[in-house]
Formats: sequence, C-alpha cells, structure tokens
Amino acid sequence: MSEPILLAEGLDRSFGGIHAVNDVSLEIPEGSLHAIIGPNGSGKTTLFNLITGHTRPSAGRVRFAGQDITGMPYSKVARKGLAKSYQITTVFPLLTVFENVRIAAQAAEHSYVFWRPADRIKSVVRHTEQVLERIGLAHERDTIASNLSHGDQRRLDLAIALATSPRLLLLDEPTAGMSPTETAATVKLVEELNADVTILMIEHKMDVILSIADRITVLHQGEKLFEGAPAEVKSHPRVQEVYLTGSL
Amino acid sequence: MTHVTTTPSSDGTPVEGAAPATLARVRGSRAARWTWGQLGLLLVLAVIVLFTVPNPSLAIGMLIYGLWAAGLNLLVGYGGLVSFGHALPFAWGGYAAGLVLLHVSTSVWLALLVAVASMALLSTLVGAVCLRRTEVYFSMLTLAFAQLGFFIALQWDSVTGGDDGLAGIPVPTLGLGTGIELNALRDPLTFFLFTGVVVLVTFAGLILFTESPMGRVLQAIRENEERARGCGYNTRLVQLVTFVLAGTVAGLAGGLFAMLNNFVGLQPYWLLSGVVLIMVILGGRSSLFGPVLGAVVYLVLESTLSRYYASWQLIVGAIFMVCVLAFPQGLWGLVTQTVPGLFRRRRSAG
Repeated sequence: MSEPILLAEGLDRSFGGIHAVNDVSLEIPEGSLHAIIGPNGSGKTTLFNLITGHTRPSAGRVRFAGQDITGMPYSKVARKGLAKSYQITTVFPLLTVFENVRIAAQAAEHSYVFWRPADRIKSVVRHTEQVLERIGLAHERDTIASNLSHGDQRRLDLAIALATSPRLLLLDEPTAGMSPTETAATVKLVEELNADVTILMIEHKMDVILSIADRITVLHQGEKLFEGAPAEVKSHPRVQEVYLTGSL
Repeated sequence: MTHVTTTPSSDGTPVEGAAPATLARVRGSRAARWTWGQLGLLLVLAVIVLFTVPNPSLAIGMLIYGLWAAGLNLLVGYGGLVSFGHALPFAWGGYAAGLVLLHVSTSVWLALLVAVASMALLSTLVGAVCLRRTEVYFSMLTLAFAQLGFFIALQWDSVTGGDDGLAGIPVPTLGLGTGIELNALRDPLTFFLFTGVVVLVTFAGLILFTESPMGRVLQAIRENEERARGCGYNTRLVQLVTFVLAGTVAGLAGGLFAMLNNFVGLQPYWLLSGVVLIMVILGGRSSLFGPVLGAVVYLVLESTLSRYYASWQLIVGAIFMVCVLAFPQGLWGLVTQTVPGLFRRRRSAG
C-alpha cells in the first residue's frame, strides 16, 4: 500500500480555552472522495484550515504527498498541489471569468513571467479553456465574475481551484446556498472530477454526501465521533443522535 | 459576446466575498480595454503637446510627469496599493542624476543609469518594509519614508545642498560622438525628442508588464489576495517587484527632471507625492494612459490658473473634488465609457 496522499495525525487546536479541534486524524488515500460532516461549530472548517496552513495546529502533523507540510504557508502548500475552494465564494470579482481561471492556470509554470504577454502563452490559454468547458462556464468566459449568478460564482470558485491542476482538492461546502437544480449539477460535477483528483469535502447536505462519498468522517465538538462508509454512518446510533436527528 | 452591464462598484459597494473598498485598496475599475493601443495614444498626446504647448520646459515636464504618474499607477490602479510617498523615488532619482552630473560625468546615460539602479536598490529596501502592511498602513509607511527622505535631504548639506539644493547642474551630453547636448533652454526640441523616446520606451515596458503573467497576478491580488495565495502565488513578492518597478520609473523621471531644470532641491521634488497621486486619480487608474492624460491636464490647469490667481491650488482642488465625485473612473475612464464601441477590446476570433 502506498502512502495516502493526505495524512493528518493528532491535529489539535484550541482558541482561548475552546477546543475547536481535538486530536483528529485523517487518512485520505489517493483517488478517494472523503467527506467531513458535523453540526455547526463542530470544527470542520478549522480542520481544513489546519490542513492548508491557514491556522497553525497546537499539536499534530500534516503530511501531504509524502512531505511534512505542518505550519507551511498556504501559498507553498498550494504550489505542492493542494487546492481549496471556499465556503464563502472567493473569486477575483472584477476580472472576467476567463481571466479568473487563467490566473490559476498559469500558476504552475508561468507564475512570475514578466517579459511576454500572458495571452500569448498558448498552453495556459488552452488549459483555461478546457477547465471552463469542463465546469460548464465556457459560455460566460467574458463575463465579469461579480456579474455571475450565485451558483455560477460557486462553480467559478471551483474552476479556479481545479485550474491549478491539484492532486488534492478541498471543497468547503461546494453546494452552499445553491438551488436544488444547481446542487444536483454540482454533485454530478464533483463526482466526475473525482475521476482525476482526490477530493476531501465538507458538506451539510446529507443526501449529497451519502450518495457520492467513499468514506465519511463525523465531527462533533471538535472530536472525531465516527468514521466509515456512508451506509455505516447512516446506521450508526450516535451519529443519528447528534447529527441526523434533532440536534441540528 | 461582451457583457458590460454593471459598472464596477467604484463607490465602494462591497461585492459579495470581497472586502469593501478602503482608502488604500481602491478597486481599480475594469481592466483597461486597450493595451498596446495606449502606446499610440501616448504618441498622439506627445505630438499634440509638442505643437500646442508654447512653453518648451512645460511640454517636456508633461512627458516626465506623465511617465512618473503612469509608473505610480502600477501600484495604485493595478496593485490596489496607494503610495503617499512617491516623491521619494522621484527626488532620489533627481539627486542621484544631479550628483553624477555635478561630480562625475556629464553623460546623460551614466546619470540616468545611476538614478535608476540606485533607486531599484532603495525601492527594494523601502518596499520590503512598507509591504509588511497593506491598505492604509502601507500608505502611511510610504509617507513616513518620504518624510524621512525629505529631512535627510534638508539636513545633509554637504551632499544635498540642504535648503538651497543642488544648483548649477551642468548640461548633460548625449555622447556617442555626436556632441549633442540636452539643453532645455537652447535646444528644447532635442530635449523633448529625447525625453519622448525614453518615455515611450519605458511606457511600452510598463504595458508589457501589466499584460504579462506577473502583471496579471498583480491585478488578481488587488481583487482577492487570499485567493491569489491559494493559487500558489507569493503575493508579497509580486507586490515588491511592482513597488521596485514603480520606484525605478519614478527615479528615471526624477533624473530627467533634474536635467530639465539643471537643479535639484527640496522644492518641488519632495513636495509632489500628493500632486502625482492627483494626476493618477484625475486621469483614471484603470489604464496606464489615464495618468499621463491626468498629468497633462493638471499641468495645463496649473500653468493657466497660476497666471491669474495666486491661490490657483484652490481652484485645482475644487476641480479635482468635482472630478472624483462625478467620475471616479477618471478623465480617461470617462472617455472610454461614454464613447462605447470605440474602445471595446478586439477579441481574437474564437
């Protein structure tokens, strides 16, 4: 067995006495689609931030693709192939859809070139077009990002992450605020993307999770309550108690 | 298909997911539609200036100020970083060129080279400190450095001439066996043409930068720094390169200005941080050409009004306020927006 693409061991973080994440370990094998669920305030986003380097863990280690990335600045982690899409839509608002994605697409090879026009770098332009096509935003390529509908902005957010050609994609509630139709389309998209890239996602909508995840981690008050396949999670009594029924 | 429906929220309406506009992180309006066409615009403007401005020294000054303002706009418009201390690199360039001409050689090239190279070095140091903060804190740090420079120039008599400045800077020579002198009094046309060429070439370099991958990242950082980091960019590095570039261009402009006046001193060099910023905002910060236009308009206003009123700055200030309130996208932004179709970017077929 090869080493998992992401390995988090004993991650710990408290904010002024509140234990946001308490001794959480994760093991994400390459190619899988792993979901993290849990009620509000259960530490899901903090866990993400510990992985990406936005927040320094008080204890524990993170290994990504065989390298220790604990406490590494986010831009460096990103260059190693760990991309993230945001819970609150995060795009470049006044740039066109095409330029939003092109910026991400050029990151891999042509980041700091300043002696030739960006639009002439054909490989980047082509890669951008492919990503737009795949995400289904090709028809909006010249639209200013802030003029897109909410659902399209979320997809653009995902497109930017995807355009960096990551090995691991962290999705923080990719369907947040979406209509049922948009949600269905995004779920389908995430499933398709999983063919090429490992995905670790936070999601609130249970039906979404249960239908596509390989494995699910349930967080509760910063601690790992349970981890298993969707069917196991569904039938686990404690999970039902905290999450599926009343307490939300 | 181009969607040009809503105007960018230059009034500061927060766009979802974006920080509201603050003083320093002004959102530049939409990316300039014209890129290389700006070079043609600059050429046309230079020709108009050459044939209509009666005072040669003023005409040359317009080119110099225009270049300086265009360079500053890399920071302000493209980078969202408002420098309140852009007089520092201008004055530094002036002193550096002046000192070389006075003490070392009368070569134009050596003087400008020293101005530019020393300024690149200084900008790196100053930028590394100022860019530890963003927004208004960045602005205040740049202001602090400019103030520091002013007082050093004032105190260090033996080198800078203190309050009197460096007078009697010799007329620089072009060398290359031509015997051509850059004398703004006796041969203003040569001086104008020389400056024009330097300005056009530098301006072309600025356009290339804004169109290059790095220049595009700079604009992405203005839009959303966190996301740019998430794409793997070292955002501080990109901003520092821009800071150095803007500083170097200002150093070049300052060097030219010293040659134009054969004088460097506290006035006006150190007192222009606000003026150059006004030129940028007046002309429009969504392009490189806008600030050049802003510089020309400002200097026209200054030279005409100051002939009739001692307190001409009151009127310029009032005009500036009206401009900012009525068309925050600046004069050039106003032109491109009110003449739609004319300035629409031509897309490659596809």
